[in-house]
Amino acid sequence: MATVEIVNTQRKMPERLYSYFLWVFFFCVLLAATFSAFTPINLIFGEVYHINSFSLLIASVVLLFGAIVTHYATYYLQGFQYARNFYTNSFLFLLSVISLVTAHHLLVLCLSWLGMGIFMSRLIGLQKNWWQAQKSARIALIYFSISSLILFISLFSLAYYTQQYTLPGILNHFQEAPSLVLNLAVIGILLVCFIQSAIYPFQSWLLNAMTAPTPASALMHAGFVNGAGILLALLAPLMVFTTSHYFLFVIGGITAIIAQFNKLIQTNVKQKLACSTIAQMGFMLMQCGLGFYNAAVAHLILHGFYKAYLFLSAGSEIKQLNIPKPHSLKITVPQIIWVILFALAGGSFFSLLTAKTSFTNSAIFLTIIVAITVAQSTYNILKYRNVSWRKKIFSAFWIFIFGISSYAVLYAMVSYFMKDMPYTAQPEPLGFVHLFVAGVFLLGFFIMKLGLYKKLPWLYVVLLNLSQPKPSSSKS
Amino acid sequence: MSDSSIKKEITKLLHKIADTQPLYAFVTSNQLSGYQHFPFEDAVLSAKEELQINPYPSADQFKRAYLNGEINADILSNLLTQNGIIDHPETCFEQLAKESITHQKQYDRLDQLHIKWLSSFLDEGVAEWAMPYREKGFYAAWKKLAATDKQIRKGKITELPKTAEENILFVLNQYPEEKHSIILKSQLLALPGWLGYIKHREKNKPDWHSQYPITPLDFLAVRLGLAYAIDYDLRSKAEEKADSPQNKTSSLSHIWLNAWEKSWQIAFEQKIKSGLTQNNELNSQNKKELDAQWVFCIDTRSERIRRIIESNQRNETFGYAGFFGLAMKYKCPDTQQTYNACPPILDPALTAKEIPLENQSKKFKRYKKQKESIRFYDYFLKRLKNMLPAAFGFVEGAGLLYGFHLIKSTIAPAHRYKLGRATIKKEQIAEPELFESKQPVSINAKIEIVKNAFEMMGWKKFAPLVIFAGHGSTSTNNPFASSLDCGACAAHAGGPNARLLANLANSIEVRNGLKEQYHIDIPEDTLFIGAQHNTTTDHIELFYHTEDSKQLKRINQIEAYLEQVQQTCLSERLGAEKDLKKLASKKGLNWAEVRPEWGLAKNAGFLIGPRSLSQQIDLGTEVFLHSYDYKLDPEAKALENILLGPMVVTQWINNHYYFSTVDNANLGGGSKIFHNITGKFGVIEGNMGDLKRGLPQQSLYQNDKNYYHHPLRLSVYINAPKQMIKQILEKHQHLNQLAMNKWIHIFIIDPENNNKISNVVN
Repeated sequence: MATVEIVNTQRKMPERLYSYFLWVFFFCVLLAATFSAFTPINLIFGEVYHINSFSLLIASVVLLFGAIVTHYATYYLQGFQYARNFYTNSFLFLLSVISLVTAHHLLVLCLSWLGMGIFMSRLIGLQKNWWQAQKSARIALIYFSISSLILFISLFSLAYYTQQYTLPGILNHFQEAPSLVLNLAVIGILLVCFIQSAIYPFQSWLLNAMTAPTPASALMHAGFVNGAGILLALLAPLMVFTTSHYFLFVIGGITAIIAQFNKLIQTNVKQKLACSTIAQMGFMLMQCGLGFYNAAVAHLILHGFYKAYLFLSAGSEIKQLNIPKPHSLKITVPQIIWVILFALAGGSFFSLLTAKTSFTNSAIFLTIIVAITVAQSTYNILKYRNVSWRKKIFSAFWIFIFGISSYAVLYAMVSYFMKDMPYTAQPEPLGFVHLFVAGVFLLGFFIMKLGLYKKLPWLYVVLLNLSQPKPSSSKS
Repeated sequence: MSDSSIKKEITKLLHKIADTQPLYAFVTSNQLSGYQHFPFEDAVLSAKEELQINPYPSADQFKRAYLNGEINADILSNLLTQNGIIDHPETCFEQLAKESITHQKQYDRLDQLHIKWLSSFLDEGVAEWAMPYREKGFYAAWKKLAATDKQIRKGKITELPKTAEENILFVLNQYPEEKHSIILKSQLLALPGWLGYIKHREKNKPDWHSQYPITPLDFLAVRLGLAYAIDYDLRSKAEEKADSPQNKTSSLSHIWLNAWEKSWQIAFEQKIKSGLTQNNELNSQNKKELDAQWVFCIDTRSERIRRIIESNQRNETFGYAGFFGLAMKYKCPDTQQTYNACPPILDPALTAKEIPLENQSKKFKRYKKQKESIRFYDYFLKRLKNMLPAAFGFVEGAGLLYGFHLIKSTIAPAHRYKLGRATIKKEQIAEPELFESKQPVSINAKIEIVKNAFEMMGWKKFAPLVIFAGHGSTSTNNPFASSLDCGACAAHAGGPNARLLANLANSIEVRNGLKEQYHIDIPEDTLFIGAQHNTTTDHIELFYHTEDSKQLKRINQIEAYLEQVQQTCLSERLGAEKDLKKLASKKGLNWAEVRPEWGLAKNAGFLIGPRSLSQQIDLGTEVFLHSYDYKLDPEAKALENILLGPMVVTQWINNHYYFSTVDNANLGGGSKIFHNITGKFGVIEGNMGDLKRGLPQQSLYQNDKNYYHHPLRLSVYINAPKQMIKQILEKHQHLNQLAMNKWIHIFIIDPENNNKISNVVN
């Protein structure tokens, strides 16, 4: 009767090999990417695929996520009857992303996009005998097929009018297309991006997708939703030329604010993370709208790390808590002085390190956000009671120095990899729109800071309904 | 139906729903406790019909057990023939498969709306912005908010009466009277997990409950109100359920279950037979000079380590409920939370707090400060993640750091907690002290506590070292972590209790008192040591502060021995040869690990008697062991307490494991792979659903199909005269009922009748 306890909890050979293989794959691509930084490359394979430093950058990032998630899954999915389907579909998903960033021919681009959607929806519906998973997978598949179809129509209508069927071809010649076609195509591409990033009102596929196994969710939130940022970076000239930046900026900005409020009311961990993803995607689109595609790519990489970590550790959230006491809003004069001082210092440090020194273009927007972040972090540290003033100032200082420098390093790297891509770092002149959104941000900040939202119960209900999974039918 | 009969009906129905435990203190209890007053067979059949559950092991698992001999073929055919079935067992599988169909619950629109509000109201700290008006109670808060809810016909909300009770009657009265009872039944039993949690809150009254009250009536009133507001016909579902005919005939599954249990019992009795023929006294073993006496929890996981420790015969071990008789709360200096550290059947009046040792108070202050900074750090991160627009700047500034942690946790999980953590342990600088409403407990009370503990363990002679070993576990990223800790300490680690008892027993005043008042003479150089057995790594950590060189030498020897013990334990448990410690600690620290250890899986028996019955016999960690010597217990007081306390708790554990295994989807926790933590206290699967109320599949199954735990009802073996046991059962009818109704099997090993084993029922 004495049985060995470890039954079936050891990793099996094929899974282990596969996980090693992904790590090796990642290192090879990383090596190639590093190499491409020193000797610019642009290899084209028969008008179908091309490889440049940007595609190598994205491919290595996505392979890193793939390797981590797979490594995790080799433990996490022990004994899961559909584990093999997970490995197959996640691998095909990774291939689709790599295919997307290396696509030269437009058809390849569209098919890769469709592939990403199909394999992601299959990951959502991995548990075959569970109605909820099947329903969520169906919803996702509908969204992704429609988005792929729109992408196909948009790109191929441009291709038809310009007789260019490759990505660089279309970027060089799109201006030859009639402006109506061009505008419709760009609207289509924007829609595609909104669906992919689950921007309101297309959020429901993401809010249903918790039926995916946790590692698949990590891949979804660190990889799949970023597709929009990548697509926009690839098609940046189209956006710049058609002044769709304003759309991206406004819709991204408003989504970011609403989703951030929406996150506050979530009571389950994965739904909360989903709302946070929507907000971060909104912010990324906003960065595109400001003309900083390189900042958007940097953001999607960093957000990927952040969200993958939070998903993979989502099981740690069980804890007995006391009822929270309301935050005191009291602040002393010296505290205010320090906060303002640090905010100014942080903002300046950021604009220096990331070369966003102009006060008259959209870069100032990003600088202000960094300054407020530094202010908020400083404020919270200064209000902590148990430590001496010196220690508090010291840690607040190092926190922002570290945060901004680490960001600046990545930002510089990403910009360097994207330097050959047209129009990916093109600040917009400041306009009314920017002031408007800045005003909304400020309003949001004050409503949140002062806790005013807690006086608006109807808003609670609106937000609650906004973040519900798609309603079930009346009959079971 | 009249108002009062509706109330009665509701009370009756509520009784069928067991409490759902919060996962931060996951006490395993019987999911069908509401049916416990019926015979098992009838109970599970009613539950099957009313709660849509499957109460028996699946046909595949019966088949597996039959083919690998766990179900003895002879016993099975005997039982089948007795029940008038003469076919070959292999022909049963088709019928068994028909009997064990797991019902997959689908949630309709009403369920979804209901869950939306339940999870918002019951939240214990996930949401930064909690549901408004919660202090008014669930029904009132819901009614205020629902008036603005666009998902329903919000205009109809204003038609609803003011209180929950009135509303229940109001909505029911929209339907003909003969439908009332069936509507009540179908609606009240629709989401047993959430309702069970409400019952838990109502019973235990945590702060969350006194601030934000919610009752089962609120649950029902909101549900009926929602149905009213979406024009949902409550009859449709009710009628559907009424259709399924009740099958009261003795099912084939039940016969197979009996055969499986009988096979287990016979195999077990074979094993302890050699113990039975020996002189049935602890004394025979005690003649040797002892190095150490150990007291472990009755937990099944103690069985292996006790056996291995005893392989050196200068050690003697005892089994005792792991809270060591200390009915107390414990204030943890790490979290500043106070929790119950004793079985849930007790209501503790005393609180243990950590008090710094002499000349360590500075260090202790620093320790507490460190813990507080960690808490501040968590708060700080939460603020930055939530606030606008800091959330965006934060992700950019901290992203690379998250990337670093992501890679580190993946490729080097064992180092996860080594960086930046406090190196001082509270056990080194502090000792627990008992308080009664802020006042230290009197010396007489302390003497009493120690005396009772010794009496219960039947102590006669003290070795130079007496080690009380509580137990805890290590797991990472595991919502069910507390289910692996000590059940007797209300799902917490047992270290504090062990340290406290050792501390009390070491005190000179207590020893003097014991000698004077109770003639318990403890040798002067005997040292009591609190310890904690880590069941994930099988490491036993000893906590002591002595400076006596003789004692230190003994302790060092024991610690060296424990190294060996750990190796032997691990190689037996993990089935590997090398790198055992690394393998085990990786299981505990790896964030991707879903089976850090098997907990109490495979529990099937409970042996109450002297160690000689089972000494040096491998029981495969299937058996709870409680030390007991009837000769020291002429008044049967100790036995009475064992049956009232530990036996009832082991029955809960056993039933919980049983039902979580046979219907993991509806009575267990479902698969960890799809878990989504809700409200800081529970899990749901996927994007919405009923609150899960049992252990997850990964704690019970080898894989999606095959059980690891054997779902068998507990077989209790008591080594005491028949008359003695009978009297206790007579006195406590609820214990007798457990045996009569076959929720457990009680066997008597009668020392006055040649240790003959007989079932107490017949």
